[in-house]
Amino acid sequence: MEAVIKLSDAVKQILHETDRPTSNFFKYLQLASRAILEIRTHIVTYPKQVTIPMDEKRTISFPDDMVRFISIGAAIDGKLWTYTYRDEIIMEEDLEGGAKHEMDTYEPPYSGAAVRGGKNTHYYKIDYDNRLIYVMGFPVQDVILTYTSTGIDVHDTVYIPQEMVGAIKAYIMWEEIKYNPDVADNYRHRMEYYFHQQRRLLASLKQPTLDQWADALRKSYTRIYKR
Amino acid sequence: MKKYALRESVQHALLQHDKTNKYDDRVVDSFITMATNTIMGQLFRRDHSNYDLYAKTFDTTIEKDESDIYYSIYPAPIVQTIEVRNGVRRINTSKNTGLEFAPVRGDEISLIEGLDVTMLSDIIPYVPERDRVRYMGNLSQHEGKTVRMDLVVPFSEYEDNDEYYIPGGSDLEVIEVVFQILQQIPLRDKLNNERDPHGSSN
Repeated sequence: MEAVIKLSDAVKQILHETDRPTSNFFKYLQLASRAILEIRTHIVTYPKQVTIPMDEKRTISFPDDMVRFISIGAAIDGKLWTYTYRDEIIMEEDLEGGAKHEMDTYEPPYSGAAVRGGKNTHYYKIDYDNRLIYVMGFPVQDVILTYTSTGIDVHDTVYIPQEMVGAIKAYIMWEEIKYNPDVADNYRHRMEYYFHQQRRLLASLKQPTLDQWADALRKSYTRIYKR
Repeated sequence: MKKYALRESVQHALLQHDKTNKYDDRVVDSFITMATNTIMGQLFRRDHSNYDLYAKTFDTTIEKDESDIYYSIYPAPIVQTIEVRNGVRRINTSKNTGLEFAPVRGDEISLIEGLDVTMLSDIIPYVPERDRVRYMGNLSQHEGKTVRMDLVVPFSEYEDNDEYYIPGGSDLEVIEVVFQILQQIPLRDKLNNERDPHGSSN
């Protein structure tokens, strides 16, 4: 079995497993894409990172598939240096008479003794209504945006991890009857339980591996001189 | 059982009802059609998969009407079922062109049009309408292509030598239902006047 499966094939698989007619295909596909959004937003939030070229306007549009912002930063010395949120930034288009931002002076990113925060060379502000991020700072460089994705890219074939199929199936079965007043409450609750059961299984995949636990433990060791 | 054999069995049984045996083959066929449709409707109300045994395969083409809607004309009349796909069990392409189809309700087309769901798969939604199968989306690349349809057709549409499956355990029921229909109709009406212009033998 492949570790990933096409979303439409997963829906076919669910139709087959539950013995439902093919006339449910599009409804189930719709529910499956909603299930993926729900799972990616609340259960297994694998962050997605994209590099976005920065122009003089320093405004970035949210990617189409972005549901939750995580961070914005730049690659410095092979590491991600994240910018700092600053609410008092005024969006450039809101400035009158071509006023300049005082922040547009370059200070190298630094950290060290007596420095608070240590990353105050670039700032950003988010305009959620217009789905824009405004970046302030110098020099202008490409940014790395980290966010939670819907997991659905309609312009390409959507592949999903196999382990997600069980939760998608449980979600569809639950959603299908959730708002139906003719369905007995105990059945509705059972379906809800099945989904939460699958949800817990998925969430368990986010647990650190044994190796990561071991690393965390070893980090706490301090080497001392041999006496 | 071959179609003609079933018809003859019913005609033979009908002798009890009408010793003159004046029923035209087409009249008997239409009674058997009614009887089998009734029985199948009752038997397969829950499990629609059994309809597959009554499906015949036909070839037809994808065409476009003046409203730019793509469709295929039914190659044969279909039996109505309570499913969305009705008597159109499945549609596929006669050559392996990778086209896949799935049935939707007529009003669902306007609901899903333009939604992401139509872009997430290459499967083409179709609606069985009264006289044609309507496809959703732009099938300009496939216009004129042949598609293969498995249709549940009524008994009357079978050829005499075609094998016809009576729903399991319902052989006698077919005859009983035919009798029930006949008992409600005055005998004279059952004559085929085209075949027996005098219609006075009863």
